[in-house]
Amino acid sequence: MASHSRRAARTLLIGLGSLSCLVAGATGAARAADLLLLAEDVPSGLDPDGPSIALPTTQEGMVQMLEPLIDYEPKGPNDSGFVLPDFSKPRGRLLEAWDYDPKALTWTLHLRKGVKSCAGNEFTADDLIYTYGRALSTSGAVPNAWFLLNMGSIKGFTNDVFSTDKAVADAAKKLGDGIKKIDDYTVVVQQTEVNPLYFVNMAVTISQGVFDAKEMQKHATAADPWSHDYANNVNLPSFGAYCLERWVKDSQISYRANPNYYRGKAFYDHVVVKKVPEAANRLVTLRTGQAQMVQGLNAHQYDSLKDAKGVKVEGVLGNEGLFVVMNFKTKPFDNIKLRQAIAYAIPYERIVQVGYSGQAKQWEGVIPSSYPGFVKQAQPYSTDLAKAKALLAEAGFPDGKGLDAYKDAFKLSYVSEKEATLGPVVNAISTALRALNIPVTLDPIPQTQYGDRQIVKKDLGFAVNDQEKPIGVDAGYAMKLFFVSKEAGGINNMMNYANPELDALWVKAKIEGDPAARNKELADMQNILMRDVAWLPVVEFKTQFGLSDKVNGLTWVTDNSPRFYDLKN
Amino acid sequence: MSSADFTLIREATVPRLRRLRGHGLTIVAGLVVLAILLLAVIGPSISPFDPTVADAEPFLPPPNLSAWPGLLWAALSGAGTPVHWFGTDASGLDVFSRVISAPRTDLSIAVLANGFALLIGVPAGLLAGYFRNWGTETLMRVSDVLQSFPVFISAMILVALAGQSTVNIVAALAVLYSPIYVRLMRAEVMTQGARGMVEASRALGSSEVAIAIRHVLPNSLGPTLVQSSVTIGFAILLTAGLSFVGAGVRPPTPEWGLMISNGASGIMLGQWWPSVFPGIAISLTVFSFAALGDVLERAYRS
Repeated sequence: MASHSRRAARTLLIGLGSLSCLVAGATGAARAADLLLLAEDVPSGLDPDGPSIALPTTQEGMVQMLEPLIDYEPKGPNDSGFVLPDFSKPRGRLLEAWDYDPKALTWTLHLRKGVKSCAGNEFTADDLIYTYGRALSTSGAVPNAWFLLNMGSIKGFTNDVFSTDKAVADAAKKLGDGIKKIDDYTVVVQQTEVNPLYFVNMAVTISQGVFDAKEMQKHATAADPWSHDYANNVNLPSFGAYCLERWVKDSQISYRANPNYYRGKAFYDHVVVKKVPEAANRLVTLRTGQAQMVQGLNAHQYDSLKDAKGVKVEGVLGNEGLFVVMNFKTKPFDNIKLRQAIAYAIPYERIVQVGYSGQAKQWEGVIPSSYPGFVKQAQPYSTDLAKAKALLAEAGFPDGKGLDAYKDAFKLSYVSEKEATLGPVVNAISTALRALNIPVTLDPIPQTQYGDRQIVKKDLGFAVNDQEKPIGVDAGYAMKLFFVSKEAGGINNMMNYANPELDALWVKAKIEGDPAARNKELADMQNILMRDVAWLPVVEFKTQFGLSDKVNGLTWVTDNSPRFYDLKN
Repeated sequence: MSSADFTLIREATVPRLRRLRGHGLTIVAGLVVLAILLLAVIGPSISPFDPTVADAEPFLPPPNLSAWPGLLWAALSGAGTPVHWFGTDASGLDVFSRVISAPRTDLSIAVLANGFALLIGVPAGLLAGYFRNWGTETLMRVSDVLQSFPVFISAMILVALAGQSTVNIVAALAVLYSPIYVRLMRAEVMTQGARGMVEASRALGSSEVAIAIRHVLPNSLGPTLVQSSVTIGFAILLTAGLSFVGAGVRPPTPEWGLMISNGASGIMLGQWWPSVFPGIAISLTVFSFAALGDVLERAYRS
């Protein structure tokens, strides 16, 4: 029967060859491209402080053009060919070197000379000052760049920028002596406290990439002095490996290699990213050889490519994970024993196999296991129904009795657009929990509604989430982002988790100068989060791409966007 | 309506139905409808697996056709383990169990929606056809406006506004299908109103309301009842369509449209069974209801 299925698949593929012709034929430019990537969408905007910054396809566009201050040395390829970074070895990109004075809490940034933008402008301290000034202005739709500098305790980057007192806010939005230009190639940055996150965050291109100030200022207007409209709708001038060639929102974006790029011109001179909404159509087009790269397939679809001729799949267990949200403000999820019971009822191995075709593993902590500072739990939650039943009884719901009163709370929400990926996962979870008489029903909701309820309203009672990842490579960064309480400065604490013990540890860890002591505090925080099941980590799954077997050099960066510069034949 | 009237109708209709009974297509359609009705009642009870429990291996293909007789014999004789006759889907849910359990959802929604549409449409049509004034003309224009929107789009909007639940799907379909009955009923009432029996009743001193209810209404119901068969078929199709686009019933409820939608992404990979079997079921059902409607209409007209 399996051979019948394969034959059927082959027949379908031949039959659908014409469909891929349509995809390729839709654009002459794509046919002539050195590299054609088929994606689920193209960038909706290119401004790091723009409204679409959270969209992976938007981020993918930005990172081709924006140049970061630092990144990490490559460690070498994993077993699938994906080149991984060595997080212990940061290297300068736009920075040639840097000095840190722990007494004065200052960073002296020595900028690389001879770097030219797509427009031919030379990179100088003015570009960095402009970039930081723009971040502090918080004039965009989202204060993304400001947030990471605030997180890094940079002097002047305070919450005063959001003051309701206009005079206070206006004054706070002006760069003070926290950032100083010493000369054209030297900038000094002042911190208010010891905080390693400033340096870590320099590698986050989608937030801390540097603009070509001259080009940006050319497009400033009185109403839009920081050129948000230009960056969001026309171009993103920077010093990156690629320059924008053509961009039709909702359809296609193409790039030309930056002839002035300081690391040498990219191998692929011309890259076209074309929107093909249906994953199956992207898959077919790659198999027929008319595209060199695809993304956004589900695990089963990637799995089907593994035996295909001329095609390969590269994947990495990087920083993508699936977890269950149980909102502390929704009864009965304020009951820790109940949370633990659910943690012991989850069928982890089945989810790995059914949801991810084996391209995942149980997540045994709350931050990505590939990150420095990750603490694997001594006794992680496992599928143990006897223990789950015992905990359920301890929680006051023996055999699930009494939980019917909370039927509404047990609506398991997930993004309906991800049904192909998440459907098998939520079915496995609901089957397992219903076996314990936990009255779970499924509640697929549109992405926009899910995002609103997760980020703005924070009222998702019970939900599955696979789209949050900490881009800054630091355990503290991850925990500040997702678990520190709102009162203590937490940002995306969708569970409304508030634990004074955790907040106090974060206050200490944030300014801890001794790395060993900091690691201990961060480890304690992770243990608390796992004990309380602050969120329920389920699996870490692979970030994958389908490629022509002629394309090599794919590198993994924590934003999960491929860097076209690294690709070669 | 007197018993003599019923006798007359029966004498006129039954022989024609008898004549049609020999028609192969009619028999098949009738049998399918009967089977679907039966499955709506007992489907979930006779399914070999729980249609909402995902504990089998995902994407198990159906057994080879040559193996079916042996497996069938084993199943009937109670030997061996239950078989996934139509394979399993991406979640490991048994496709056969879901296909035979789905009529309860689909048919319930369709029959209830049609029933409520009749409840709205028949009285409104009777009023509009018998008592013609500015009020009933307004009613007809409202009905026209409702009919001028594409049913599927309107259903999506109504469900989105009211919230995604079975009750709201029924309500939306009932509202959208009721204008069909209003118009049909009105046309038939206008025909009946010109007949001598109405004049005779008036002459006997019956009130207009009494004439409308006692004489015009029973004689005008035929076309609406014939239309019901077609409407139920289309309501099933619309329910499935709503589920296909994510606006219908929620997973893991066994429902044909939802099954087709969830299985569609696997077709390219050769995993055709999660969506093809519910597709066949829905096609057969809608076709059978439409064929039956056609038969009833011909019987009524002749």
